[in-house]
Amino acid sequence: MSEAKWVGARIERKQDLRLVTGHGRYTDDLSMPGMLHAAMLRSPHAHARIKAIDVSRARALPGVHAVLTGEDAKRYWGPLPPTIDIGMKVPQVYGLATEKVYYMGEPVVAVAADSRYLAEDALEYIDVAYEALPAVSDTEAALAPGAPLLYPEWGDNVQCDWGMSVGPVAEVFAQADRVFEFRIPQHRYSGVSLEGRAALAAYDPYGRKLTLHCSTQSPNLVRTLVAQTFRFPEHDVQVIAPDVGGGYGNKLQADAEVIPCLLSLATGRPVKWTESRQENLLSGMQCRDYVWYLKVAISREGVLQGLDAAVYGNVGCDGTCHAAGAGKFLVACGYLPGPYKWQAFKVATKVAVSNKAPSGAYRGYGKDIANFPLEVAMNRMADALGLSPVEIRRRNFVGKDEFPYQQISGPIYDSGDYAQCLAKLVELVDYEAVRRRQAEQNGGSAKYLGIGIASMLEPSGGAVPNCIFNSYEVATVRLVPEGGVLVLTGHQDIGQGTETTLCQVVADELGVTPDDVRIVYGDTNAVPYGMGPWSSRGATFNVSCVAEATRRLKSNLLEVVAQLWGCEAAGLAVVEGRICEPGGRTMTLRELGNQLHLWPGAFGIVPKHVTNPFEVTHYWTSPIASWVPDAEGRIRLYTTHPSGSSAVVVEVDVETGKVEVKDVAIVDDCGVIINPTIVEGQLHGGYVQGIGGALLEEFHYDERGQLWNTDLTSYLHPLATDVPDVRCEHVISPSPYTALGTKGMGEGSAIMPVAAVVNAVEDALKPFGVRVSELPLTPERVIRLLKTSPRWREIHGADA
Amino acid sequence: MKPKSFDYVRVDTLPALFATLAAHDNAKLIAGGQSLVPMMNFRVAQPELLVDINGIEALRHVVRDGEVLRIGAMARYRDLIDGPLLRESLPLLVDALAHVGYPAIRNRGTLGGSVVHNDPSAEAGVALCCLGAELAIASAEDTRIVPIAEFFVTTYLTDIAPHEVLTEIRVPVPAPRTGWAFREIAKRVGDFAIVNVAALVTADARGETTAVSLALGGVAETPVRIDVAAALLGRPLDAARAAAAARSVDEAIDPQDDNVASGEYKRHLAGVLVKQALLAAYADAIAKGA
Amino acid sequence: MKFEGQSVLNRPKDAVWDALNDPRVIELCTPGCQSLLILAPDAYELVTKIGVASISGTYKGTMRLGEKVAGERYAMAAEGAGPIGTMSIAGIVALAESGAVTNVDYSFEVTVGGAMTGMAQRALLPIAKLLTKRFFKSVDRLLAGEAPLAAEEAGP
Repeated sequence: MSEAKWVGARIERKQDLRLVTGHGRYTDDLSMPGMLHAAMLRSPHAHARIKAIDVSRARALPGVHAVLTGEDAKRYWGPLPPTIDIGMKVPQVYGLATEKVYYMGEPVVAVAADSRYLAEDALEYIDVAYEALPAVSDTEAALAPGAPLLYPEWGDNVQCDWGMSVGPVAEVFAQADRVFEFRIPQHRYSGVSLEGRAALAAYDPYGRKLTLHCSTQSPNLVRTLVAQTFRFPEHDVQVIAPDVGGGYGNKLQADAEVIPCLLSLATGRPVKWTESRQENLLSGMQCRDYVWYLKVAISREGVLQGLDAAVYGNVGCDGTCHAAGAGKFLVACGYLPGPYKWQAFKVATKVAVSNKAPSGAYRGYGKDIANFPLEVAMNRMADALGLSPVEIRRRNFVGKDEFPYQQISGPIYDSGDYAQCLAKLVELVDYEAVRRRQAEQNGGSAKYLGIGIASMLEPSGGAVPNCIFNSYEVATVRLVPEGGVLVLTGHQDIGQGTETTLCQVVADELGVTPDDVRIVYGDTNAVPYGMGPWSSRGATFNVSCVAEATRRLKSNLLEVVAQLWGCEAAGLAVVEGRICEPGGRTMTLRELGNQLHLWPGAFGIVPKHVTNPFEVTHYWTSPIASWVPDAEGRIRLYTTHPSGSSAVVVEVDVETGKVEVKDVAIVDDCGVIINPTIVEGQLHGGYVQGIGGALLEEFHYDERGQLWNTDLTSYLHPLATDVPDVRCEHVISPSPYTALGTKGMGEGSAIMPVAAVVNAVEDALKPFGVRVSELPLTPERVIRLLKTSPRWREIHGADA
Repeated sequence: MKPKSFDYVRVDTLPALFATLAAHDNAKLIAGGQSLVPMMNFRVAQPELLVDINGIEALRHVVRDGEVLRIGAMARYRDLIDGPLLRESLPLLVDALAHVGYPAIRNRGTLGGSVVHNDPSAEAGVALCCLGAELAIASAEDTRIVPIAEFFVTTYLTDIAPHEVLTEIRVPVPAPRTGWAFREIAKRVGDFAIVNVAALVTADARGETTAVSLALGGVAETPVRIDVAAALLGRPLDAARAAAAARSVDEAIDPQDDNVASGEYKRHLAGVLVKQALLAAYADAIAKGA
Repeated sequence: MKFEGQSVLNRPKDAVWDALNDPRVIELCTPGCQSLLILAPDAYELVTKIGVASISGTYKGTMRLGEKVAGERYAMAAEGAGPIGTMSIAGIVALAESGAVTNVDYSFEVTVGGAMTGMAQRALLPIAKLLTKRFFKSVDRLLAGEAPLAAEEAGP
């Protein structure tokens, strides 16, 4: 690379002005001649047999063009194909329910009509006779003997069952000074993006082509899944993602998106469906929802020794076909050891299906599941051993000189300085000052101050076999005749800023400015088959891929110029769009582009050994991932490992139960930073989502599988008034495994806060000896917890 | 989320409104639309005719008439909060209304709309109950005056006939030396309250409580005014008195579980907030007498 | 969710019993009833148009009477679906003569379901209570030879 001029710069994001002034173009903004509008009748039951469906009255309505049941749809499609299948049970399920409904909100009948109004009117004229079946929603209830079975042919509700054991587990536990046991559950919540799902499908019956515009994180993956669902030739399917209003992992499959495709195939007309918020909350991909049982062996000095754990996950009706939720529990098992060192490790998971909405990815995909229980356990153990939460972590971190470090569960950690992150955090949050304020304040009024620390390890850039979350990225970098540069990538900008950061990377690699570069994405017919943003893989896979492709293009271009000028290519440089000979001739990229393509053209000036001077397509895959099990049976799926620590300061009102977040500080290490503003935006946004998960957000299912909050007055996100400014600083440990030393970093900030908030609340309520046992920490739950405390009852309970 | 089809008419005078209501079944008035429109989009409400009363100037007034504030039903929260008249004479109502939703909701929403809709934890209803407001309910024939507590029937239901319209809310200005307090706990700023409490306390020159009014929202199917005079009158209002009043509130209410919170927690909050509100209102009364 | 209540009907017990078992009375007195179809003895299909405050829409459902002790009590179970979602009500209606009047005691368990569950629950129980009261009020008026309550006779 030339000197890093743009990488590291806080340049503005390319799309921001357009988006914040209301000029974005989202799927719902699109319209086509003859377009129909879709609506879906959804099951009010969590588990029921469909006895009969009468659509005759709906079909007879004027303006209604198609009313299709699950049985009708079988003429057009097959079952949803698996998105992941690594030793899992894969159910046979369709885009519309057939014999049974498995969750409340499952689409049962699809309607296409002249307007969305008419389509929704038609739903009122459809009669479905259901026979309600016993439902199960709780994880452990679903795994218990005698539970209602979703798929009776399985014999149980277990979709996935896996475990591993490394090192002398029994001996370590037998000899340990102390063994702690914890039960740590986490509730169900998810990313709820500003734009829900949206799809505009247009089948051209004469050209036999299906064009699908949709809000997705990966047009290429959607194209494959749609082609497989309909047994339609994949090369006749074009998927286009216009502006995407948020993804967070929720938009990584073709689930309800197949329904407008179905209606378009049936009517021969374009059909648009824009998910309502209610539909999004009912059936957009949900996440979290599990319970851990942890046993930790630790010395009296606070040195971790052994970990023996089991996680029971709940993927709702399915975690393989509707979306790939089941896999996150495997990731959770692999990364439970976190940033700490261990002598022995044993873990197991059972992933249950239940009568809740399907489960997918959401900012963490198992890293969150690994992080939460251990970070809470660390604080509780520190408390029991008389150590500070800072000290217990410091005593157990992998040291900065130990990288690359193979974790006991198998992954190779590339680089990091965990202790430095924590040390900087202690300074940033002014830990000692908070402790002093706490000593002065607590006990004097109803408001108790507390601080919670959580550290994290964020494996980024996963490569999972037998899964849509696979192992490579491809990009094309192209010089156009007028000297500009196009980057064609299967990656997708979903708000994380790829469109800007890739320009910065190319600008430095080629010697141009970001304005000379345009990133082309979101159209399967324009870009190579790349995989898109998930697993925070952008700065691992995509950046490396684009950087390498740009280096090769530049090398080819310099070969051309070297021959033109009769000099050595090695001596040439590109500076601000000009190819320069030291102290001599210069040529702009525009002049070179013109010469190559037109005046005189390639035949005249391209050296014989340069195969393609116009563009380079590069395939990048991980130098470190391995799918071949080692002697212990371990594989390595992730390439880079960002890390960090964060602190939350809360004030808990012990009379009302309200938890107020007073301060948030993060120190993050994601290797080389391309754009600090974008990185900090990720940290802010992720952290706020995590605070939401800790304090507010919850899909509230009852034991019958009924979802009680289907609008945003009852599914609550943090608002600007609920969170303080998020302060952040960085440590930079470049990754040796990526082209620029960058690491993906979209998820770490979202996975820490739940543990940090729980730790902060437990810290604040230390005088009452409270241990958080359920989430989110609504005021009511906090009071319920306090009521278990004899000390609280003594002070506040008399007339409560 | 699209409403069922409906007709729309805008009327600019009360006679035109009464004529329209007389001619249609299943008509619904729309003022600010902040509760009605979401309910229509969810298809929970399916009016056949929407009668837009935003053009009726006669429903927008805010005037002081002796010791009574007369507030037109179409007065918007924003205007009531920002206007000088209420700030001066009904600060309790201003503070309560500032807790309503978000700026966009307060810009559109109307006091009359909230009262007629009757969400049991709406701030307006609780504050107006505490203040002892009366409502002017007009029909083509006449106007009847109803105390607000009698107007609230049950959740989302009020004592108003399809041909009637709420025209004015009449709020007595509290006596001198009357302090006030409004307390609310919601899950987030701007959400409907789990429980809210409005209190007025009047104290004499010796610091003895001479009058008290207390209303709670979120603990029943309508806002409720609870008589706590026995526990408070004739004495200074201290923590022990406030606790005694909270106990009598506790005996008077029977909050139910709902999607927002359990009855048990609402009961707990009612106790905490009643004590806080009474003590704060008393302190305000004492400050006013000083 | 549970609710219970009492209505006083100004007729002897036997007359009230007969009325409460008469599909025509049920049709006339169920608030907003558009149609009643007899599926079997003591089993009806009803279409009702609810219009209480802001809540409106057409609901279709079934109603069954059983566990009868003649002149004393029966069990009522109703299930319906409409824009708000699904609702089922099950419980006991019991009669007791008190001088010239009959006290009707009822106690019902209400279960709601569907996408509007959260919003509906807050409104449904009060509305169910109100409509139950109106039903018995209408029966009382009918037995007195008056017309049942009309839809617009709102109020408690």
